[in-house]
Formats: sequence, C-alpha cells, structure tokens
Amino acid sequence: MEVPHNPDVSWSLIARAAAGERGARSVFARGYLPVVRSFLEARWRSTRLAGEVDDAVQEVFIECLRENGVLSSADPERGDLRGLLYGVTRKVAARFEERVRKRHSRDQATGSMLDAVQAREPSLSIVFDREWARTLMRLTGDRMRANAEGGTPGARLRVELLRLRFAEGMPIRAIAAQWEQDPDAVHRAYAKARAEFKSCLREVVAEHAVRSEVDLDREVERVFELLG
Amino acid sequence: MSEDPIERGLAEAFGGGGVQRPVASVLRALQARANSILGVHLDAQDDDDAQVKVTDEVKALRDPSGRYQILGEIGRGGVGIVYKGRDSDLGRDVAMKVLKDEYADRPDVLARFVEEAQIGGQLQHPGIVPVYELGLHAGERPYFAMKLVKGETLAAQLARRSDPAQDRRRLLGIFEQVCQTMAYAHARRVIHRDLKPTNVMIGAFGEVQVIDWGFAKVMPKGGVADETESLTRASERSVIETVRSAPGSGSNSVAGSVLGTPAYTSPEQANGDVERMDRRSDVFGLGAILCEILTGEAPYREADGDLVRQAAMGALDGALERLRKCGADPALVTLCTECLARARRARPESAAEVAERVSAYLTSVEERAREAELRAAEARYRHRTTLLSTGVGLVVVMLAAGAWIWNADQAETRRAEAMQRVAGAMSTASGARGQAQAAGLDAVRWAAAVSSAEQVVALTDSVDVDANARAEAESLLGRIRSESWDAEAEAQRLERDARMRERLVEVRIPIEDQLRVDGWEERESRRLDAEYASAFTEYLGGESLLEMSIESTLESMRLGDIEVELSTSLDHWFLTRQNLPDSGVLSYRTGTARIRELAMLLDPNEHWRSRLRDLLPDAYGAVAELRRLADEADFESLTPAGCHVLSEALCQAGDKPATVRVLRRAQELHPQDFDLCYGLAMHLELLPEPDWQGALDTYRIAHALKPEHKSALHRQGVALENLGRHADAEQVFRRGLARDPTDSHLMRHVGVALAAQGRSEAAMDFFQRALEAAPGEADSYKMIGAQFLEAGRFDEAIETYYSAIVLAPTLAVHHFNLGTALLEAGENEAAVQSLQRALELDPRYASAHANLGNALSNLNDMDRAAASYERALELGLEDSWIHFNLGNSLRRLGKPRKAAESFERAIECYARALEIQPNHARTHHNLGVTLEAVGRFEDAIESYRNALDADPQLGSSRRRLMRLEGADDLEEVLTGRREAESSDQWDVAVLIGCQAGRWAEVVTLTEETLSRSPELIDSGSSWGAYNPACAAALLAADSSSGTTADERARVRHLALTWLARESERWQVWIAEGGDRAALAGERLAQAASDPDFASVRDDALEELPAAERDAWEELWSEIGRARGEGRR
Repeated sequence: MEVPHNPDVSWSLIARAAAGERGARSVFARGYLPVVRSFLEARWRSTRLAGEVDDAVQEVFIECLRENGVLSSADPERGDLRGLLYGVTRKVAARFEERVRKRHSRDQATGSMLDAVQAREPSLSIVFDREWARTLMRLTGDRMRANAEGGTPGARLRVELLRLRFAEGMPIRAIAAQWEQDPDAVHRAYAKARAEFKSCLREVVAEHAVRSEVDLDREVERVFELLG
Repeated sequence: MSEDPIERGLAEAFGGGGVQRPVASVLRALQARANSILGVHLDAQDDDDAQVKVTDEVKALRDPSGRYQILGEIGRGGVGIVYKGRDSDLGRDVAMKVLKDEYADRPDVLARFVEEAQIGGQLQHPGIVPVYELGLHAGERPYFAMKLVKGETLAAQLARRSDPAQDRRRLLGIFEQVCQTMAYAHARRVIHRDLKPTNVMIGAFGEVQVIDWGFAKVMPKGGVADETESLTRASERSVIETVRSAPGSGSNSVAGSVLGTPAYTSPEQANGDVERMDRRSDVFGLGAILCEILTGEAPYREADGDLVRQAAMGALDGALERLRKCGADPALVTLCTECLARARRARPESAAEVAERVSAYLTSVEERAREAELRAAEARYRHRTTLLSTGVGLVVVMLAAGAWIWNADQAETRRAEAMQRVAGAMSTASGARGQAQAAGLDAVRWAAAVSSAEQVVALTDSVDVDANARAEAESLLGRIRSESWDAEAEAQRLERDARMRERLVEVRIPIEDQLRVDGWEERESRRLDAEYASAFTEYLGGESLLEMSIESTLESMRLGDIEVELSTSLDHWFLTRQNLPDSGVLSYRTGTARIRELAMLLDPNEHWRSRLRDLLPDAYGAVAELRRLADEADFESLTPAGCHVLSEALCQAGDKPATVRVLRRAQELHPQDFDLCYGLAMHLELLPEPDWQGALDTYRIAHALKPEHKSALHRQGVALENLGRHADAEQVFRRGLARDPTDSHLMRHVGVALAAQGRSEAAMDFFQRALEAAPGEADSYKMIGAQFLEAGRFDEAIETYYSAIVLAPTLAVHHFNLGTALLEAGENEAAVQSLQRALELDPRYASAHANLGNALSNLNDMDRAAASYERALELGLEDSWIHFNLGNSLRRLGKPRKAAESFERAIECYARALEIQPNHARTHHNLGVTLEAVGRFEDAIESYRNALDADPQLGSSRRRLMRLEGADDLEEVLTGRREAESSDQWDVAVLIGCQAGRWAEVVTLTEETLSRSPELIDSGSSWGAYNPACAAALLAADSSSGTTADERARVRHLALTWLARESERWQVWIAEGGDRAALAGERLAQAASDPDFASVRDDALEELPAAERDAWEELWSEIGRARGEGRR
C-alpha cells in the first residue's frame, strides 16, 4: 500500500534548497545540523581534528547545497535522505582526516589516532543514527506545533500540555491544577497528544524515505529504538 | 530516562534545556546578611556619553533586580548589540554585548556567541578586551560583559588624515601593538578572521585593543581548545556561510558568517576555503591594515568593482601599485606586499614574524635618527677643529706627525665596522636558517636562508674582514645549502609519494564511458594495465618498471613511505594482466611475473597479504582458500586498495556472493571510497540473481560521492531498467544525455528504455542518432538489429548484425545475434555457423549453446542439439524452455529414460516459473505439453485449462485439451464416421493423424472437409491446410503404401494445391502487417525447409513430370519471394 506523501516538506525543501533558495537552504541546514555535528564531534573526540568540527559541518552543507551538489541529484522517488547525509558527512570527515594525515605523515601519534577513528566507524554510525532519530523527533515536534497553530483550540492546548510536561517537567496532576481541570481529562488529552505525535512521526519518517506501510511501521519502531 | 519510547521521543520534541534563572545581584543578596550598604566608589573617569543612545529597547531591557544596569546603546553588530552597562556590584561601567532577540532560537548563532565570550575570557592580553562574565540578561537574553573601552577605532583615526604620510610613525606604533596582540592569540592557536581598522580600538590613554572576536576560531591542538572542552562540547554550532555557499553575497558581517569584510579579506577566506584558513589568513588581514596605514586605502576598493569578487580573485594589482607609489620606506612596502601575497605560503608565517619585522623597522628608524644626530654632532665638532688648526701652525706639524697613526686608526675602525656588519648579516642568515628549519620543508624559506647566507659571503668578499670570518660565512652557506637540498629532496619525496597515492586511487576508478557495453571488461583491463604502467613509470622518474633491474626498482620504491600501497597496487596490476588474453609474447609474460615478484619483495613480511599474493596466479583454483582468507581478514587494517584486490581475486575465482560480501564490508569501512562503492554496486548486478535494487541504491551513493562520474548515474538507469522502471530509466539516461549530448552510449540506453515502453519508432530514432554520433561503435548496430528482429524484419536484422561483426569481429555477442536472426529467418545452417563462431570466442556463452540447440533441432540433428541444451543448462541458463526442448530432443532420439528425466526437470522449471508469474498462459500450456509427454494426462488437462483461464484465445491449448478430453470423437472425425463440428476439432483430428502417420486418412478428411465446409480450415490463425499438405506429400512419397503412380500424382497435386493455398493466405497476413505478419514469416520459413516436402523440392523435382515440376518450382519460388517480403 502506498503511504500518502506530503509534498511540502523534506524533499520539496531539498529541491528548493538544491535550486539555491536561501531560505530553504537555511531551514535544511538548521534542521539537519545536529546530526552532522554530533557525528563529527563523536568521531573526532580527543583528536586534533576536534577543533575542525565547525568547518567540517560547513563543508558537509556546502557539499549538499552547492550548484550540482549532492542534493541536486537526490531522487525523491527512491531517496533515503539519511543515507545521503551520512555518506556526505563521512566523505567530508575522511577528507579532513586525509589532510591531517598528509600534513603529519610522519607523526605516528596522529596516524594511530586517526586509525582509531576508523576502528570506531561502526559505533560512530550509531551516533549518527541516534542523532538522526532525535532530529526526526524534533521535526515531528515542529510539525505538531505548526499543525496546532492552524488547528483547533484543543490541538493548541495539547501542544501546550506537551510543552509543560517535557520542557517544564510538570507532572500531569500539576498541569491539571494549574489549568483548574479534572486530572482525568488532562490525562485523556495527554493520551491523545501522544497518538497525534506518533501519527506525525509516521508522516515525517515516510517523507524521509520509507514507502510501504509495513516498512514504515518497522522504521518508526527502529527510530524509537535508536533514541536509546 | 523514561523507558516509554514515545515519552523519550516527546522529550526530544518538546523538551528544552533547563530554564536558566536570571543573574541576580550578589551585592543585594549579601547586603541582607551584612546589615549595611556594601560598596566602594572611585572617582569616575570623564565620560563621553554622547554616543550612547537610550532607545526603547534599552528601556525594555532595564531590569532593576539584575546586576547590570543597561545605560544605553553603543553600537550594533551582526548578531549582537553592544550596550553601555553598569555593574552595580563592582561599581564600574562595562560594555555588554547582548544577543539580538531574533537569534534567540538559533542554536548555531548562540554557540558562536558563547565562543566569542569564551575566547575573550581566556585570552589574557592587554591588547584584548577582557570578558568579565557570560550570562542571561533578565533570564532570557544571552550577554557577555566586558571591559568598556573608551576611545575610537583605528578606522576613525585613519579616516581623519588628509595625507597617507601624515602621522605614519604613530600609526605604525599602533600597528605594532596589533601585531603583538595577534602574535599572542596565534600562540594560543586562536585566529581572528576579521582583522580590519574598525576592529582596532585605541583607548583614551593610548592603549590598543583588538576587538570583535565573533569570527575567531580555535585551531586544533593546544591553546584554548585544550584548556577547556566547553568549546568543542557545544551541542550546536553555526553553519557558516561563505562566498562559495552563498554566491553573490557581498554583504559583510551577516549572522554566522566568516565572510569577514571583503575589503580586507584573504583570497582563501573569500573563496570559502575555511579549512585552509590559518594564522597566515590573519597575516593577510594585518597586511591589509598596514596597506591602509601606508596608502590611505584598503587593498580592495569599491571603485574597482565588486569587493567580494576582487577578494576571491586576490586582485591586488591596484593595491600593490599604490604601495609602490606611497613613498613609505621600502622595508615596510616589502613587508606589506609579503603579507598580502595571494599564496599563503608566501606570507610571513604568523603575526609574531610581522610584529618582529615592524619592531625591527621602528628600532632601525630610531637608530638611524640617532646616528643622524651623531653625524651632525661630529660634523659640528670637525668644523670647530678645522677652525682651530688654521690658527695654530704647531698643530699642523703635530697633525703631520700623527697622520699615519690616524690612518691606522681609521683602517681599524673600518675593519671593526665591517666585522660588525658581517656579524649582523651572519645573525640574519642564522635567523633565516632557523625559520626555514622551523617551517620544515618550505622551499621559499630555504631559498631565503640560502640567499641570506650568500649575501654574507658576498659581504665578506667586499669588505675588509679576516679570513676566519670569511671561512665561517662560507661554512654557514655550505650548511644551509646542504640542509636546503635535503629539505628539497624530502619535500620532493613526500610530494612524489602523495602524488602516487592519489594517482593509484584514480587508477582504480573505472573508466567513465563504460556502460557494460560488450567488451568493456577487456577494455577496462587494458586501461588499468596502461595506467598502472604509466603511474609506476612516473613514480620511478620516467623509467619503466618492466625494464629496470629488480634491485634498482626496489631501491627507488623503498625511498618513499608507501611500500604497502605500492605492493597492493602491484597485486592489482598483476590480477589485471591475468584478466587479459595472453598475447603469447614472452616479454609480456615476464613483465607480469616481474610485477608479482616486485610485490612480494616489497612487502614480504605481512602474513595475510603474502598468503593472498600466493593465491593470485590461480585464483580460480584457489576459491576455497580465498574464502578462508576473506573470513580471516582484518578488514579494519586493510586499505581500500587491499579490499579491492581481495574482492577482485574472489571475482576471478568465480565466487560472486563472496565478492559482494567483501565489498560490502569494505564499503562500510571506507564509505568515502568511490571505487569500492561503485564496485559493490557492479557486483550486485553480477550476482547469479542480480540485486538490482541494492545496485540502484549503491550507485546512488556512488553518484553522491562522485557526481561527475558519468557511469554512477548511468548505471542507475540500467538498474531501473532491470527493475522494470523503464520510464524512470529513460529519465535518468536523458539527464545524463543533457550533461553530454554527444554520448552515444546514452543515446542507445534512451533507445532501449523507449523500446521497453513500446515506443519503437522513438527508440529507433535514438539508435540511429547513436550510430551517427559514433559510426564506429558496433553496439548501435546491435540495438538496431534487435529492433529489426523484434519487428520480424529478419533480412535487415541480419544485414545489421553483419555490420556489427565487421566493426567488432572478436566479440561473441555479435555472432550470437547474427545466429539468432538467422535462426528466426529459418536459415538454420548459417545460424549454426554463426552460433558456433560465437562459442569459439566465448565457450561459456550459455544462450549461444541454447540457440545452437534450436538450430540443430530444426536441422534434425537431435544428438548435437541435445548436447547443446545440456551445455546451456550446465552453464546455469535455467530456462524452462531449454528443459522442454532438451526433453523433446532426447525423446526423438529414442532415449526414453533420459527424456523422462529431462521432462521432469522441465516440469520443475515450469512450476518455478509459475510461482513467479502464475498467470502466464504459455507456461501453463508448455507444462501441459510436458506432462502429456510423461503420461500425466490428468495433470496435463489441468494445465491446459489453466492456460485457457489465463488466455481464452490460446488455440493450441484448446486443441490439446480437446484431444485429451475427446479422443473418441476425434477418432471418428479422422476416420470419417462423423463430421467435424468445429475448426479446432478438425485441426486436432488432422494433427493426430499426422503424428500417427495416418497420411491417407488425413488426406481424405481434408478433401471432404474442403468440399463440405472449407470455413473450418480457414478459421483463425490455425495451420489450415498446411499439415494436410505435408501428409499428402509424405503419402505421395511413400511408394511402399501400395498406391499407384497415378494415385500418387493425384495426391502430390493435392499437396501442391493445399500448400499454395496456405502460402497465399500467409502472404495476405504479411500484407496486412501486425502480429500475424511475423507468424506468416515463421511459417513460410518452416515450409521452405520442412523435411516433409523433401520429395517435392530441390533435386527430387527431377523425378517428376515436367508440368508438375514447373508447378512445384513456381510454388517454391513464390514462397521464397514471400519470405523476402516478410523480412522487409
């Protein structure tokens, strides 16, 4: 079964970003920056490249967004944005590491340090995946907030409920007291907000690659698992 | 952390950082405890608050409960506003930089803002404004408080001058302090990245400070970055926009930018090569400031065009011209010119060096001034002495007596001065040598050091110094020269290694123009062979590795540090040559052996690689050992090239799944390696059951890694084709064609994709375009031939395939295609020849074996046909039709037991085919035929019914079903006891009669049916009267049947009439075109070579009466003409 596709996010954003639209570039870069940064920081922790993270992050986005760059050839029909971004990030990381190797070709310490980076590759992909999962969660939150803005007062209330619950750390009972509402009613609203969140997350995950329902369910579960 | 995954997700989506509380006044808190008013208040400095503006925003920011009281706005930057504030606890005025409200939700900007504060907080230097505190104003707005510098910017002071020469000495003093401040920052590995006169503050008491460290960067290792990890731990940083990422942007100081200020920006910074920015980029900025001090203008001027473009291009000609004409001391002009050098390596190494040179200049100016003063005093003294001497004659006498003493003193003084100059020059040369040593392999520095030492030697020649000084100078020059040569050799060696390393990576990247067109493997191997030869020749300084002695080759190779890379590449080269057909030339063989020997000698001690190397000469025979090696491999220690060699060996050994496993692992470990990624995708295609989806996905990654590599895009199209996504494939190929409109391969691929969508004419158009674009490429003929073949235009197909063979006579596929076309055209003997030629060129060509079986079967050579089918099956061509044909062949050879086995295998194949495609009518039908052949009639009936369910128009199944289900009725029809009720019934009865050799009954039945109800014979696309014509010809030829000659002549006449009748019917089909035209072509071909008519064709006609012979000859001639029409 085909999953309905919302054309207004992810790939259309990428298309606009690839076409050079500044706003879209900025949104794209900000949206996916944490993934790239976390991966590079983890990869280069305790290495002499730790101070290069900023520039490498920039390089990744330049690779993606420049004219005829990676994004311009990305295919929304079969696209896997995660894979694409992961590939580019690792490519840029490797380029930086190679430069350091060349610069310090006879520095044994540097060599072994960067070899250690390579040895940690498998665990580093977990870092990338975890941050990717967190990014998807954030995008889902953004979407819920956007939906709520144009939605019913109930929807706005549910978003506020989630904010109080998770940003302010308030228990449901305290929220109910603050709102002068029956705690059961707030609990029900919370259950509905959770369901809305999961539904939004499915949409976001679908827009990032997955097509069939079965795959989608599996991927949503995987994204939750990746959060660790 | 919650165990509920949704809760965890919600926490990510809606949870923020902890809420930070405002920084409250400590003083107020302490006052409550102290029970008194705390505080000391010194006399205030004279404030000039004229420039401080009290805006609405200032009023809004005032927070009486906070420690800092905002008094007014001083200025605005890209992301922050600087306010004048008062620290109510310490009673002092401060500058507060507060993040603009619009950036409150920008983690990247926030991170950079914090970095700026941390850098300012940690750099402790009088030239850097100290940061006191970082906090959140009113609990919301991030700020940092710093020392309030009262004064004006260097830009303001420079702007006030009416002449660039004015006030230059004082300004150079300021510049010296800026350089010293930057020298300190550089020593802490911090670079400023936005040095310009507006970022230099000159305080009221002359203190000079470098401000605005918003773009500063901490260089790796040591310095600030090592002292605190907070910088590197910031969770989110800016995405830095540069000229490269934001073309056309000429604005400066945008949020999160390192664009800097174009008028003062180094070329690398303007080009966005941020990774190349280092201390020398700041040196450029210092040069830019110095340029403005000396000439009154920045290096780039708006009047000369777009500033960003000028900066990116390093268009400094104007600035250098202005410097030459500015009238400043040449030493300063030279320093400024060096700082502004386009190439970083030509600039002074750091701010420290610039500071030193400026200081030296300023000192020398002072010394010169002092010397000038001394000279003036001496002149005055001499003047007075002269006056005295003219007055006193005695003094003249005394002077005469002491003249020689004076001369001697003068010589001594000159020698002392010369020695001092030499010592100074020696010191300079030693300094230059030290700098060169510190810079490592910097050729420019070594050249400067040599030049410096040469000047010392020249000086010792020109002045009066002792021999020791001269010898010392020469010795220094010798040492520096020697070290310079060593450095040069070392640099060359490193460069040679680096170049070779890059070259070897490039060599492995497959050629771009290959699209798996025929013969690409050999072409690729030849390319690799040539490229490796060229790469190694270049590495060895122009000598061929195959011609040098082993010893000298090894010696040269061991000079570098890349023995493993070299030996691995030699392994690959060796494997490549193994792929190529043995030319038989001795030198080629010895060359191949030499390559292997060198690899072994170069890298003799690594056990795993040595074992792999041992297996390379016979990879095919060592497949098990290679698999073991792959299992034991420590992939993480293998280079990409090493992985490549292992996978290549496994590929040569024929273990494609293991090849894919190795490449997959290698690609995971080296995701940036294009060759491994591309190779994996290619081998996914080559699996026994190709993984087209996997290949497509992997090609996409390869394309992302190397967008300029055409094949990575094009192979995606091929994968899409194989996934049945022809329209998508067409789009991909068209995209490639848009990039290169002359690419004939792509034209062919677009054509193939169009043909697959049924757009034959458009496809043919692209094939023709490909042919025009590259007339020498046989593949275009191949594609055009396939189109002709598809349309049943056999003669044109044959002609086209011949053209392909002319262009590429050694490629088996073209002979195969020709053989297939000949087979389709019924020219079985010629087909056999072509297919055999294909098999000579490629004995493992399974499809050629299968088609050869078909041609031989048509020629009744069942023995060889069966052998061909068996070989095709052995080679893995698991096609149910081959089993079926093999079964038929064996049955006809009278080998029932073996035939039954073949039928059983055919049945299995059909069953498998039907699992994949359950509604394929022909498969059901053929399964029924096979089941019938092994006597499983009930199962056969079910299969025919399934076939008819899938395609109710499938007449052959209907007739077979009828025969099985209504055998009694058919027997009655055949014997004439009842009339046929339908065309099918008549047809099947005739078929049964023919198969049973009951020719006479078939002839009689046909005569009666023709006279009674001829419509039964002409219906649909049945064989009509063809089989009866065969029966009549066979009956007439059977002299043992006891019939008379007249009777036989009559029956022959019937055969003639019925065959002519069918021939006419088929010609009508051809004239009408469409599917039946192809069918008619096949039937005409069958008639022309059908052995049933052997008695009325060719030489046999000699036996017949003249009239009859003429009639038959005319008919065969007519059939030949009709076949020609059909082909056209």
